Amino acid sequence: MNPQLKTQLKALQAAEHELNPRKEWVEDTRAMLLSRIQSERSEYSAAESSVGVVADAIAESLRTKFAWTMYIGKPVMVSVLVFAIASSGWIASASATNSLPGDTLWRVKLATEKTQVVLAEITGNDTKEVALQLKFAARRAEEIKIVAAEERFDAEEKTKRTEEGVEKLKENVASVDESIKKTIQFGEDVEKKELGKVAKDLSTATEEVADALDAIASAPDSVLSKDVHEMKQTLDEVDIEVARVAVEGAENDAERIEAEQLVEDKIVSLITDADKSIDESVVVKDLAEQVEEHADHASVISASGAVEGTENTVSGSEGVVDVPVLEVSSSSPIVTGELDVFSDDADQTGDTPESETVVLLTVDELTSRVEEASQEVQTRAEEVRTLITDGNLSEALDKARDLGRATSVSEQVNTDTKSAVEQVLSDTSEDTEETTDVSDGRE
Amino acid sequence: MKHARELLLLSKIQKQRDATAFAELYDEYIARMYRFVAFKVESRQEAEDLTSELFLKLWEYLTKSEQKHIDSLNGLIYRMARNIIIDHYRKGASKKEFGIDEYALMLETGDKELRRVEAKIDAEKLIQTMKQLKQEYQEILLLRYIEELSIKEIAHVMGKKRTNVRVTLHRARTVLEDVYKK
Repeated sequence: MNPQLKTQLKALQAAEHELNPRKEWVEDTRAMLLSRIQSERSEYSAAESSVGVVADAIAESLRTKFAWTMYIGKPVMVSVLVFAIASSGWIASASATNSLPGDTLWRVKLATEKTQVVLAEITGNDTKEVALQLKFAARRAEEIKIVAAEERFDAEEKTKRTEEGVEKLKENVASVDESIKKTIQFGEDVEKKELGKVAKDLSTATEEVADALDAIASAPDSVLSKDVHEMKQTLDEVDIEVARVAVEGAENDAERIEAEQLVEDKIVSLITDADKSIDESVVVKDLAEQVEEHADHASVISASGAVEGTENTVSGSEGVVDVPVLEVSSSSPIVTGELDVFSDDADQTGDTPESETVVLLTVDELTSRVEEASQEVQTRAEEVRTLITDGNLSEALDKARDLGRATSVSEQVNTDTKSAVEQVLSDTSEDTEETTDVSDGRE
Repeated sequence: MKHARELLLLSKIQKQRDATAFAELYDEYIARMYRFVAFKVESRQEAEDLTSELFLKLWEYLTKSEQKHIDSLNGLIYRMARNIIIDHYRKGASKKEFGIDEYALMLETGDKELRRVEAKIDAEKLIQTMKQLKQEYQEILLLRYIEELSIKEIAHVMGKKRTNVRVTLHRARTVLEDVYKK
């Protein structure tokens, strides 16, 4: 369209234009509508108030789940904790000392952290334990980020240090998970209430760690994506559990409303992530299709299983199939069907990937796997949406957790497929450069 | 607003007559619904009246009907808006608001003002041009260029398929440019 016209159309949206409502009118109308609504509402009794309905539903489901649990009567020294886990500047203050994984002093740092955790454990202070673990997880994430950016280290050193850091990070995240579960299952009511009170802070903290994880995974040449996905998944589950506890432990309307808000936010963010991964799946499939167009140049596999990388179709030996294939790690969910975090059942292929080997798959196999994973996500997202529309927050939360898992798998499948495809595409572009009779003017 | 968030709000309004949730929807939709209505009527007064009527009717629909499942608020609210406008026109023609005198007044007040006024006149011309097109084209241009909705969203609001939307949009643009030049 004529660009001048376009600008003019756009200008119509500008606030001063007549096409927009007057500010006072907007406010007046809002007030008018609300007062009309309120006068209608006063006919309804307090018993039907939204908050009560939701809280009751969740409390019911929790009661049924944990009714059988005997609370361990340990002598608990519960101090009234006031947690100023200030959500702003949390990550920044998290790296108390400058030592990085691989440094000698780093081990010392870990030791001091461990001491703090043990202290919290001994005094039976589960909530503090969780908070500490989260704080240290944030530190690990920050350290890893610093290592990646540090120019002094060469690639090899970076990998080594990063691995060390990630190992510890995984431990941290796993302990957070464990501590939370412990508190929920065996903790006294008071402890659970404590947990509920700091739910919002915990949620912010897990979000910060998740963000840092995202930054790590999206760094170029990152081999950490699988670990990152698993950790993010664990953090998600922690969030959900804590949100539940918050609702159950709420003592008054204000707390209930806040807790309910947490639950809603969590569900909404899970659905949004799901939508993102569905879109990404489409992109990845398109990308994979490009490989087929380069069929001549992709690696071919002969019947015996050996791989030959050639530019043309192959010699006339019997049983040779020239189908473009891509390399995928045997531990990827593309092959196993699940992320490690979830696999309590035996994986579907029947292989036990004890060591990571490379599996070769055709483009079709890959795209169908991507599609499968994406479908799974879509189905579950639909379920959650239906439950939300029915007002069934408690079940929606449950389903949302399943959705989170499916999304995690799909994300991992997408990432792995994408890197496999990009590997092939970059190989073929190198080939194209070397071929003399193909001139596409590319540098 | 995320779709999931919208579904939550709707559910609260329908099940629990939650006024805060309704207020959130109001804040989200008020400006664009006003623009939608203002575009189709002749005066500010009408636009204001009809838009408040719209939200009132929306509240009543959501809270009084038998808990129908609503897939998308977008589609619903634009449909209701269209109906209100149609009813309004059936009841009797609306007054025209012309405003040229305002402009004449402003022209006297200086060069900066003059440029603003010129811009305003251009915009007026553009709007008048658009109003000459058929309803469908007007709507689609509004949704695309003023509200900046995606093709997918427009398809939802207008109840068309995406390819259809693209085609209609293209035609609308062509006609607009032709008419505008004259």
